[in-house]
Amino acid sequence: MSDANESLFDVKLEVNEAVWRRLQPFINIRNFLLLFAVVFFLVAWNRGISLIYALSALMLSVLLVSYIAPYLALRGVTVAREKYLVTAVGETLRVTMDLEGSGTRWCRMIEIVDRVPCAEEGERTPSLYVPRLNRAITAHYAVEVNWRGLHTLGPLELSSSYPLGVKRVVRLVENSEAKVLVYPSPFPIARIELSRAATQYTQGAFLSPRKGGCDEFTSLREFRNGDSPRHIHWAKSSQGREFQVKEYESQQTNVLSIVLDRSIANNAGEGRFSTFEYQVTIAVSIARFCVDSGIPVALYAGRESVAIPECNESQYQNIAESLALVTLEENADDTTPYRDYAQSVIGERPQGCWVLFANDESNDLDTLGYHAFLSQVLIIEFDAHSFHFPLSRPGAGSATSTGDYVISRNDDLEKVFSR
Amino acid sequence: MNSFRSVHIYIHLFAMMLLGLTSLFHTLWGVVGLLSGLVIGGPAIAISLLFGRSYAEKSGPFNKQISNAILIVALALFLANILSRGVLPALLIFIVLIQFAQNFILCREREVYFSIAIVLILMLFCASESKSGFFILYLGGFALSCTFVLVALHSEKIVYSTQQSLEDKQSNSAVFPASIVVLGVSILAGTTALYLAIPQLPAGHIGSSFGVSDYYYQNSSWEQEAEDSAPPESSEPDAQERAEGGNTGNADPSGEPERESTNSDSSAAPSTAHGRDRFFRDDTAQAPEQTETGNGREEASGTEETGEESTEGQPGGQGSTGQSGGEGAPQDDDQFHYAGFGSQMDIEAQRSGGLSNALILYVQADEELYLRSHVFDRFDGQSWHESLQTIEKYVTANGRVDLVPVADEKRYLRQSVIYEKVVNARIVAANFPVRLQFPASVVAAAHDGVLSSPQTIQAGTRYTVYSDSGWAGSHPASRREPLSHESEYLQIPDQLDPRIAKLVDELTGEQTPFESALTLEDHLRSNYQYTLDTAVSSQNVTPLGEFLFETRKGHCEYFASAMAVMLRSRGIPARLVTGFSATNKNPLTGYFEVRGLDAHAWVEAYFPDHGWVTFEPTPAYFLPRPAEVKTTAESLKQYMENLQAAEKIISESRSEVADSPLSLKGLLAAVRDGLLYLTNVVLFLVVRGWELIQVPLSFVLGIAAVGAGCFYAFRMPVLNVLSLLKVKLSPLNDTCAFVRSAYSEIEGVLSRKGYVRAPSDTIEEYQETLKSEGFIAPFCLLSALYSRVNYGNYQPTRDEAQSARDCYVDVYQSL
Repeated sequence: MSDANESLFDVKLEVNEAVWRRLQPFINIRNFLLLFAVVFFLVAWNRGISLIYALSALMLSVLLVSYIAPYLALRGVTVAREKYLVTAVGETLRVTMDLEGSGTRWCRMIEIVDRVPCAEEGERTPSLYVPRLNRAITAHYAVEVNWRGLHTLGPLELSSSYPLGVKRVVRLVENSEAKVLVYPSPFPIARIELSRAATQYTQGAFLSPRKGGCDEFTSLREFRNGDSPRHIHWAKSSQGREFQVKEYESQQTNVLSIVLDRSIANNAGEGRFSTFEYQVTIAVSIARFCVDSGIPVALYAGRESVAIPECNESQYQNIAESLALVTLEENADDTTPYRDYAQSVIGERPQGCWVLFANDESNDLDTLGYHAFLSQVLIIEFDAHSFHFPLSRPGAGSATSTGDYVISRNDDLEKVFSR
Repeated sequence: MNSFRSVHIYIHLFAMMLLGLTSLFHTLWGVVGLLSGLVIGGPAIAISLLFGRSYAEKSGPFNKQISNAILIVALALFLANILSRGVLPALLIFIVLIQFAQNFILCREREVYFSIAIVLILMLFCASESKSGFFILYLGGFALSCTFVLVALHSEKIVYSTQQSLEDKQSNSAVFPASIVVLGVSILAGTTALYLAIPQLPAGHIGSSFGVSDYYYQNSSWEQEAEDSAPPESSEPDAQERAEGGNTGNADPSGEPERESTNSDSSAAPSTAHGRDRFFRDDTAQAPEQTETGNGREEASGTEETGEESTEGQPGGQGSTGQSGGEGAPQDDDQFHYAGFGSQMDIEAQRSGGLSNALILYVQADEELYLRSHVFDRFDGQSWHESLQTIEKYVTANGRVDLVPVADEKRYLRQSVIYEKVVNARIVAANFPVRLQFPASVVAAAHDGVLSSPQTIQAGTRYTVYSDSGWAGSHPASRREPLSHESEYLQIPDQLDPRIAKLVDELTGEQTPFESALTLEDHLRSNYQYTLDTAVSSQNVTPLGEFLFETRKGHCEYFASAMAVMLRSRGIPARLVTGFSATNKNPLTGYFEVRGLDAHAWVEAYFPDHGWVTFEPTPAYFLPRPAEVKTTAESLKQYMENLQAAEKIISESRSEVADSPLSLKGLLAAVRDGLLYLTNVVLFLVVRGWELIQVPLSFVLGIAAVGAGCFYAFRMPVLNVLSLLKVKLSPLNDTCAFVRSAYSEIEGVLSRKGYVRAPSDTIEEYQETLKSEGFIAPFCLLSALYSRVNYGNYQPTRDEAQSARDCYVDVYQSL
């Protein structure tokens, strides 16, 4: 013995891996019971000893009970649960079920398996174990959901392998499906510099306030060349050494519209790490920010659009629900190119601030830049290369970034939007 | 380390191990062993498992060190025992100790399986050794505890494979999932049913070996005699001749000359092969010598080592076993007395020893048999004598001796005998023994197949004999062999009642000898009564006349003597044989239980065509029957009936001294009788009840099955039509009830048509699912009315109820 603390029982038998793999399916209690029953019967027959016949009968009886008991365990078991559930990506979905047994003592070792398609791969079949079901009980499981959308849970699968695991009886519970709506989860945005998008306006490209306009004073800043002298705040300027001009913001421009790019062609990456999913997350976060900041917000996402800008919690819920359900355009041929779609929706209301998404590989940016002359546009640009090639070095594929925010895969969006 | 946490595993492991240990101790040492197992084994197992449990929670080197120390001790003991006590005891001690060692570090699944395997080996050993039906309780307990261990283990595995919270897992792990009562009863009921139904086939005896005996018998003078008188070159041919002569008899086709030496009588040569000797009673007396038994006990062999003893001084003239006492002599309680086990037998002797009906022998054999101890040839009207007996002495090879060359032992009747009481030195066996495995250095075999040990056979001795038995019709017959000493077997007492010969003539007439024997046997069995009370007074003349013509009742010695004399008076050679009737097999253990009342006398008659044929003239006994495949239930019923019959005989015989029902013994006897009766009734119901009801039950089940099948096939339309009839024919007196019923019925019809309403659906939601169907309009009307009635406390009018009925019919018809 090399180690004084090692047990003599810890003798390791070196078994050929291939042989072991071949043998493993046969090594189970059922086969052992059968084997022992046969061996005992043969021994009893050979030696004519009745008590060994009894041993054989015992083995067979245990086997028999192991085959029958699971059916009895599931007999009369009912499960009920909520039909509609709501949660958000990244949150824990807690599913509660009411179980009731038949009242017999056979209701044992009941396993309940659900199907949760919005959970992470490998956790999509959460299971519950009820050792005994003598009375009605409430059981629950919790699983983290990672896929937005409207999903169907279930059907629930009841199974029992009582008592020895020799036989597993499985029964699907009828009408046990449930719907779960998973909202995209917003990340906190401290502020969005809409002024970043409105450079032309603030740089004097626009004459503002216009006659009959409804512009609103927002702040003071230093005088720049091209500013109208009418906007000089004389009182403040007299207090300092430089001119201060009043800055106005159009009330009409105080509407933020988000235009999602649903085209498959512009989508880069897969699953949760695709530019489309990033769009959705950013959109819902901006919507949250807008509602919290009192900015009316609208969403343009084809069928799922919430086009009338409003600023209340209900609007956010509508947008969040739309974003939960929005998908990429299924048929690429029928889709309107994003730039055309953006032009059309911007054309309907040229004023206001628009959040547009761009892919650095597409040529939509120029067109979108054109529209920037007409309206305030916040362009969020994706580094498509990082989405296509997750293991590439940051910035390896990006050319010149012209967007207001440039986002790569695995970027911490909260940090990006805090810059 | 992937250790388990459930305390239930340890609890059931404790029960399983304790059962294994106590069953082992009980099997080896009886009740004392059982108590020792409980008192010593229980705490030891509990403590070691507590260590194992602590090791599962926090593994430390201490447990491993203890475990290793015990393992080393186990190995040392194994080596010591294998040299001193043999392989089996060494192995038993070894596996018990390694399990004990493993308990200290028992925390993994594989170790549980190892424990189960160890206990299973112990139970298997005990099952093969135990001769008590009580052992079935151990088997049941073992099966249940083992099952519960596996249940707890399985539950533990499920707990940790589910995605529940740690708190839930711990909570579930603390719950023992099985209902011990329900599961236990189910398994035991299943076991009982299977066990009773499993046919117990005749044993295969493939590679079976001789059991280990506690004793070994030696006699140097016998060995000397056998060696001196048996020239090496003549031993095998001599045996060969004997075999061939015996197997072929007079009609030996090989033409071998008949062997003279086996037919020796008083004038035969005194010295033949294998130490042949006259086996008269006084010839068996030998000089006392110290002999050593296998277990090291020194015993005085006495002057009557072969068990042939004087009947003088014995009450009623009955014999004793010939045990001469001495330091190692068994107590009297261990001895069995029967008048027929002496060199002479007074037929009027009372059977005092038999009244206890205690167990004397266990016999393991495939079929019922009569075990022969003494063969009597001379009858003086009052007593039978072994006047004629020639023995040969055989030196055994490791306890084994072939009395004739045996080519294939499987064709012979194998019988293993285990002595529970001291009887005598005769090695009881069925006729005709050909091979003997007996724990002795030398044995003696007489010409009539009677075997003897050099010393009185002690309780605990076990041996195996192979006999060349056959059948003459329904009667057991030995091998055909030539008859020697015919005149001896035809000898008739001088003062025989002349009415006996006349009766024989009247009964047999012109029948053949064999038919005559059958007639006489039948006459005695049919017209006479068996009793252990001897009411015959011989007054120095043969009591047979009084038995046959006046009292017409007696015990087996009367019947056997009467038949032997009647056969002889008919000119048929006959002899009286005493021994044991091994016809009551305990199906729980597989052993024939030979009790005091089974000490018996019967008749063998010689016919040239059949050899020596066994006859049973005593009505209370039944000849052995050929082996047949029976279920355990049938065997158990027969076993109980036999026990009851024996008890009845004994209780009738000692009626005068019967225990008062108010005494403790009387109460116990009453309880026992009651239990026996109840068991018999249950078995009757199980076995016979099934036979009685199986035809009508099969018929009823068949009809029920056909009916169920038809109903299953046509249940939908049938139920729908019944529903329609119910709604159409229901009166409209209670309109509320009618509307409810109509709606309920239409829902039933719809569900049978595939429009199932989910339990969570409201009526409106259900309507929504049906909105595209053609019957939605009448259905909506009906459901709206139902909603108002059911939830709005609305009392519909009769017209509305009628319209509900119409809606129902519309929906029904549109389906």
